[in-house]
This record gives sequence, structure tokens and C-alpha cells, in this order.
Amino acid sequence: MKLKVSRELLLKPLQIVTNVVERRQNNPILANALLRVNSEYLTLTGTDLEVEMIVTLPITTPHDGDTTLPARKFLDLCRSLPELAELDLSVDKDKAVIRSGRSRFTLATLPAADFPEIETASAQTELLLSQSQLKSLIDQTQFAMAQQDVRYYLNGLLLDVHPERVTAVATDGHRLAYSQLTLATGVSVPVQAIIPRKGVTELLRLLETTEDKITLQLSSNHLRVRLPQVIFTTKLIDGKFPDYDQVVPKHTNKSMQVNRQALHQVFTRIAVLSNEKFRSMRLQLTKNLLKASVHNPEQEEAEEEMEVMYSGEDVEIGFNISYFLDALAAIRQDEVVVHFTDTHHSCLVHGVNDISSRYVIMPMRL
Amino acid sequence: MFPWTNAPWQYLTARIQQQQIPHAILIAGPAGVGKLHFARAFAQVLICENPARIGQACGQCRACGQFIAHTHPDYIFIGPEDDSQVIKIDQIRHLREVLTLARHGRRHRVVVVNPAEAMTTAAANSLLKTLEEPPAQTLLVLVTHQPSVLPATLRSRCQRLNIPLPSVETACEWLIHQPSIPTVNPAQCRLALLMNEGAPLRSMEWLAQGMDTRHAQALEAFYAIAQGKLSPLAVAAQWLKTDTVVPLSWPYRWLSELIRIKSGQFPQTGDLQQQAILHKLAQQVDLDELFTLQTRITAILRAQGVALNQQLLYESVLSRWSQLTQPLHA
Repeated sequence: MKLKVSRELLLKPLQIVTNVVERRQNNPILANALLRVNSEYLTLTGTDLEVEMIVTLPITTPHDGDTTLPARKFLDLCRSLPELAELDLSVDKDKAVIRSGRSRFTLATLPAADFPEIETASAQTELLLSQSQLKSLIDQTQFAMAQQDVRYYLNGLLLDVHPERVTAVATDGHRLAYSQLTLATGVSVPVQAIIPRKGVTELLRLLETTEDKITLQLSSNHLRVRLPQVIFTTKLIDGKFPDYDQVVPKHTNKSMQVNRQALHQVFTRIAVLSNEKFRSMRLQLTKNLLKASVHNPEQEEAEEEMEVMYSGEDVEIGFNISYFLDALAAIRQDEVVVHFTDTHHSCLVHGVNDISSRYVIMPMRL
Repeated sequence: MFPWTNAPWQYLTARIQQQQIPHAILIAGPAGVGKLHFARAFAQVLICENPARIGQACGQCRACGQFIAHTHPDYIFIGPEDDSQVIKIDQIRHLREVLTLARHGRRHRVVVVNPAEAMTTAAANSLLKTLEEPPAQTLLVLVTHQPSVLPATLRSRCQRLNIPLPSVETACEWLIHQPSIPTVNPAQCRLALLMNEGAPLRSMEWLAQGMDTRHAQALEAFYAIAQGKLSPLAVAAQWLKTDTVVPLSWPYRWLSELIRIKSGQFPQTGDLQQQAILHKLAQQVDLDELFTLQTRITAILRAQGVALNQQLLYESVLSRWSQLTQPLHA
């Protein structure tokens, strides 16, 4: 295998690939990146067994072949070469030689066949959507994922693909975020997949707010996203997500409407003095008036009143203020609506005239 | 596989055929009988993408290639890390995290814990939940030569599979055909098996390292002490040198042989020269004294792992041997 490539062309792809390579691993080959030369393309692959990144870049070489190189060392070499340098890479047996100008580096390789690439042939579901659509689905929900919960299926984001819609759901058992996209997906049978936290974070890093179409491929074990420059693959969580539809309150009898920005500011202010562990907040609603108050173990208190649109009976409910702040930050409309019943039932928050993204928050006992 | 693992192997492959692969098995058997080889071979059958027949890995497919290169992600090995003697709870916690994710390939995932008794109590308890609610298509294999040391809670959650020691004949036959030790004769094999509790793989290693020569030299030295030709202290020093170390289990075996001879039986070793030495030694010693010395060695062997001064131990054993073989000088 032989190839010639410029430092500028190689650097960014190599950074993306090396990003997922872990610094410490039990298996030496996982420290390596897979290089595959196929007539006009060079494909770079890196993995930590949970997430895999594949980047393809155009090159010209008649010498096809494949090998694996220590990813971090390769990246560090490329980075430290002068700008506009040309790299000459040739592989002979278990050594790779890189020449550039008057520098010469010899790296140890491992056989490409031993590299644990993720299989692609078995994708069962495929759908097309734009980058911004997927980014929005994830952005609107990912903050509600559980962290290292024993209910391991909550430590990820559910992607629920129906024939005419795609839904993203995340919950930690106390609150739930739900975002729906109406889309003719072309799938015949609904499919569910739970993307682990790491996969969500890495994917979000790659997504941009453009209308470019991207392909989503789902198999029973993996999710693959084909972006213009990168093919991203993550393992899925092997479990069953709870039935989220049952959690979304349907029969609420009270609702208030308020300016999102103003409410967010009020909550941010009073959150300073809330109990750091429990983050509890008391909401008191009377006709067109909301009173929010918190206090902490040091006997410090914060209280603020604001005008809202509310015409139901007087009510007093406790909530975790962080959950409210997260939801308010995710909603895009200027006005939000909060639906609720009483102190024992969860409330539903969404933007006015828009129920594509909804947030369920459980009350706290005060 | 090995000739002596046929029965458990057939049992497991039959389970594949019936599509009733257990979720967890405990492979128990003496050290050096090939438990880990067995576990790995079965794992490869479950991971191979293209098994030629039921119970046989193809050895050609990509999965087999990665399995052989130790890079297949669906084969997870858990053992003591770095210089540690134990399997720590963090390793099991990490395993549990990995197991919540989907498998890499299309077939099974196999986790091998070896040696299972090296798990700390906390680690073993942490594994219980996984054993109770195993992920789909995942087989947990615990490998141990001391099943009784494992917590009962672990044992009761696994199907037990025993790999017994082969008969001396079977093991000899197998040893003679091993490519790593091309020139051994049956007598050497029998000796190797005798000195290694009948464990075939250990015996193979023993022979491959040329331990039989060292053993013969050690027995000569033991004889020389009895004849007053070598000082027990010099021999003790020699036996403790790193490149010629002699374990105390060897003199223990020889004493057993002497006891056999004194009780009117034949020694177990097939080596004629060594038999001759043993017969001569048997005339020099008293049966009761042999038992006393053997008991002392047992106590020492049992205290292995405790920081005792090895030199003092060796010297005490060999001095005692010197005394009881030369009562006139005592």
C-alpha cells in the first residue's frame, strides 16, 4: 500500500477519527486507526468499540491496500509537520514509513483484518432526513437522559421510528423530554433504538444546522449515520425503553401561559438559593399571578412574583427547579404553556401552539 | 479439543443444536487440565460467523480471524490485571456497563472470567445481578479449579461443567503426540504427570521447559545428602536460585514414593534410574520419620503466599532429611 496526501487534507479527518480512540485500552489494535486505500479514496476508521468514525478523503494512488497505524502518534506527527507538507506513506510488512520533506518516520502496524470494524450489511431500516432535523430532535431531548442509572436502558436516547414520524425521547425517571418530527420515513414497521449517552454526545458534535440530507441506518445492534464527510456508527443499548406515551399526562384541567424568557430568568435568579441537593421550588398560582419561592438549609430564601395567564383555582405545587430550567432552555417558542392537575400529578410543558416537543416533569412533595 | 474433554464438549454442542445454550457455565476441574482452552474453543464456536457444522468454528471467517488475533469485541476476558492477584470490582462494573450495550457481531457474545475464585467478594457480588438477568445471546463462563472457594450464590447461578483429570494412559498418549515436545518417551510422560498431579497441560509445559532434567538433578542431590556427600545447606541454596528453582512439592512426592516402597508397594515413577535411587534411599530411612517430614512439608506448602523466609524453610527440610538418613552423625 502506498499513498501521497497533503497534511491539510489529512489533518481534519485524522482528528475526527482519533477523537474516539481511547487513550488507554486493553487491546492494542484499538489504539490504531484503520487505513484503507481503494483506487481513489482513502478511508480512515477509528473506534472504541462503542462508537466508530469513518472518514473518506479523495487521493490518487494506484497502490490499493489496508493497514492499521497508531492513531494518536500518526496524528501528532501530521500536526507537527510544517504547513502544506506532503506526506508519502508506504507500508511494508509490519512497518509503515512516512516521508515528508527531509523527515522520515517508521510506525508499527497491525493487520487490518484484525481491526474490529462494525458490520454494515445487516442494516434493516433506513431513512433520510436533514441534519438540522436530527440535530433538533437530539438537542430538544438529550439533557433528560439518565446518568449511570441501574435501569441501564434510561442511560440513552430513544429513537422511535414510525412510518410517518420520528420521535426522540429521554427520561431519567423524574422528568421526560419528548420531541417529534413528522416525516414520511418509508419504514413499514415501527422500530425503536436506544442510543447510548456517548453516541449521542459524539453524534451531536458532528451535526450541523444545514438542510443537507443524511441517511440513518438502523440494525438490531447499531445505528449508523451517513453524513457528508463522516460515517458515524454507535452501538445501541440492548434493552427495552419504557412506554413513554403512558407518562405524558393527557387529562389535565389547569394550564398557565407565560413568556418563556421571563420565566427562565425568574427561575435562574431564585435557583441560586435553592437546596443544592434537592433543588426544590414552590410554585403558588392564583388568578394571573405566579409566585415562585425556594429556600435552602442555611435558611436563605428567594421569592419572586410574576404575571401569568391563569384562570383556574388556586394551587400550590413543588418542582425540581433544574428540570424546569432544562425544559425552558430547550423550548424555542416565546410563550410556553404548562398543563397540570394537582400537587400529585406531573405537569406538561411545551411551547404555545407547538406540541412537537413536550416536557413532562414530576412534582415534588413539599 | 482434548480427548478427555469429549464428554463436556459433546454436552455443550448438543445444547447448541437444541438451541438451549446456557446463560452461564462454571467450568471446574484441576489446574492444568485445559479448562481455559476449552472455554476459548467453545467461545470461538459461538462467535464464528460461518460454523461449518454445529459445534465447529470455521477458522476462516473474519470473526474467527479476529478471535484468533484476540481482537474480537464479542469475546471478553476478565482476569487479574497488571500485578494484581485478584479480579477487582471495577473490572466487573466495567463489564456490566459493556454488557448493557448491544453485541458487535451477529452471533453470540462470550465473557470468560478466569480464575473465577480470584474475584474479590465485592466483585463476585457485583456479578450476581448480571448472572441473574443475563443479556440476550451472551454466555458467561466462570473458570475455576477451586469451585468450593466461590460464593455459593455464584455457583448456584451457573450450570456446572466438570472437566476431570484424564487417566494416566490417555494423558501419556496425548503428551507423546504434542508438537511442542517432540522427543519425549512414555517414561518421561509418566514422570511429568506424576509430578504435576496428573494435569496434562501442566505436564506438557513441565516437559517443554526441560523440568524433567532438573528433577533428575534434584533427586540426585537429595540422594547425595542422604549419603553425606553434599551439605543440606548447599543444596538448599542451589534449589533457591532463580534459574534452577526446585519446588518443595518435589521432595514431598519423593517421600510419598519412599513411603510406598516402605509399605511394600512399587514406586509410581517409570524411570528405572530414579527407581533405583528411591530403593536405595528406602533402606536408609524409618517409615515414621518419613511421615513426620512429609507432614512438615505439607504445612509449608499450605502456608504458601505467606511471607516466610524461603531459605530457612528449605534448610530446615533438608537438614531434617540429612539427620534422619544419617542417624550415626546425629
